[in-house]
Amino acid sequence: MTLIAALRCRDGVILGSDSQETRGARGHRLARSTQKVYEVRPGFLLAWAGAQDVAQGFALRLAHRADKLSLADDRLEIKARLHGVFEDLRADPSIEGRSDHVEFFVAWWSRREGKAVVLHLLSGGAGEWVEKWAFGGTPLGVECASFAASTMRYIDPAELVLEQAKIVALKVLRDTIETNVEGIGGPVQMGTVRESGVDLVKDADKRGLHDTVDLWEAQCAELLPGTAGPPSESATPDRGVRPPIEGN
Amino acid sequence: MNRRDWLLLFAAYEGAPDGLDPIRFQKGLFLFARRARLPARAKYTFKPYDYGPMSPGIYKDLDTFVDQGLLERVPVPGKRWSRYRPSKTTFREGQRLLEQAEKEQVLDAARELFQIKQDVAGVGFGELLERVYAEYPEFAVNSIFRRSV
Repeated sequence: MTLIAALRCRDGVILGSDSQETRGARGHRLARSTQKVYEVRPGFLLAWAGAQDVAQGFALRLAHRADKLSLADDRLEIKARLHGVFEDLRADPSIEGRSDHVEFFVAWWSRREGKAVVLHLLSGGAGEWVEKWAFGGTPLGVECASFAASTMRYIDPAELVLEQAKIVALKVLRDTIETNVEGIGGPVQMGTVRESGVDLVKDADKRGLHDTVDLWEAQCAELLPGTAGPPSESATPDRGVRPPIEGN
Repeated sequence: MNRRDWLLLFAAYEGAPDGLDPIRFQKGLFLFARRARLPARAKYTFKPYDYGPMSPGIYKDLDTFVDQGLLERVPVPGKRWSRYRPSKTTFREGQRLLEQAEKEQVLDAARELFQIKQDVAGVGFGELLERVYAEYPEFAVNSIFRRSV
């Protein structure tokens, strides 16, 4: 399984996920890295959880067959077309009921409404609009992620700009991945939707984002008296070099 | 001396025997880039980022130093990030770089870098960010952290 997350903020949407795909029966499982968040067609960001071949089937249909899908359309029209794609997938005999174990977030910038929207497409075919946070994937992972998000309930996503929301989303995702829930793991994947379009967070950018979260946590710790001082206060013998004093 | 030399010298200087976190490397080399009178090739290029000035090149070069055995990446208990800790090899290289700085007549810059290391290693993150933001507000424009000044 997988963990996928959606977060709506003041000026956009973030979709995120873990990056591990697990195959095989319990006790014989193999894990490998896979891409779970990507721009499935121009302007549409997709995150998937569940059986990979089923998810790929949905993505391919969405990429190539949903000809009339336009960002200029009303979001309800787009929702209806996405449901159509999903129904088409469920009717595919090669899927054999495995569509019951897949779910998606699809995000885009609604030109009519002037805001980013996210649709959570569920296994049974239902669809829900995401208002703030939403999670999908393995039930225990969803539970852990919901708990991680609830520990920051003092932060209102609707007040955050996209760059801040990315930090909050990254913290929730990495905290959840670190719980070692079976079936989720690997580095965090993230993508964003804003008025200017879809943006996938590259590995190099993620390093900076991780450091920003670390810095945020370190500053929280600094607020509490008695926590570790700066590096210069180390008791370790210092064998570092120093330049000659001026004039010598 | 090129920018990688200055980065390694920064790591080799005394002031943080257990090593420094990536944020302090970023801020230290940023302050050096702004203050030292050196040609552009001796300095990293910074952009205003979530936590103020940031140069992706520093991340890359720190990784290279670890791969080359010039620095050690040490996990910090209770934290997710690692510190980059100097070793005997780092100190040896540091001494060599100081001699090179003398030959190239850039010891003033080396002294400036030393003072910057003492400054960034001697304060908490909150104070460090505030100092940098106060001195170079144009690099704080994309910061996601609220400023107290």
